[in-house]
Amino acid sequence: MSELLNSLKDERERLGLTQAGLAERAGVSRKTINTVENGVFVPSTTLALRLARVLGRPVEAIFRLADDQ
Amino acid sequence: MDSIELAERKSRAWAVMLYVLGAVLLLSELIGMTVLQRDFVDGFWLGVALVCAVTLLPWRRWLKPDSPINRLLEDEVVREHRRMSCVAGFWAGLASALGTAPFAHDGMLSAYDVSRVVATAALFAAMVSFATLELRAAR
Repeated sequence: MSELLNSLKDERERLGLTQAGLAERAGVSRKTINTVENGVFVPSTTLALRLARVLGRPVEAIFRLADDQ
Repeated sequence: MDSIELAERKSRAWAVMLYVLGAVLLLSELIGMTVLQRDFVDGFWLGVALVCAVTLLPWRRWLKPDSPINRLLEDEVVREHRRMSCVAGFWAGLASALGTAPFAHDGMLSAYDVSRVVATAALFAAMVSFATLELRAAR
């Protein structure tokens, strides 16, 4: 199975948000944001869509499969 | 203090408490099987084991599902950590059951001792892995 890469940290920093700030907007804990950014945790489709909505980007701009590169 | 910070503090305190409870469970098991084979030690171990089992359940979500703090404390990553730690507990329980089976067969361990070893191994592994995953995620 392909590894899931993400640019969550870059997108978050683009908006000047801390992990806690993004967590608050997305309604999850900071742990969740931290583990997703580090690639430790693969988020559900629901959470990925919610993060994309909070960051104002399409979900495929934040999450992509490693073999798509 | 906002809800994110409060949830983080509670989560960290919970993880530390899991380590402490795990250590108490293991110590009461070892003491009960070796130096102090008394009914009250057996009862103490049983009480601690029941508390430990409850700590692995998503009781926050059951008791107050609409609480914003509870939603943060029981979010996706916590559920994943609970699932992974319960799997670790299952394998520890299975390994200890297979490891103690020959001793029980030969009468060196009583049925109660075997059940204590299996339950302690399963609970200890699950609690320690849950606490470790939670603390690592919070770094």
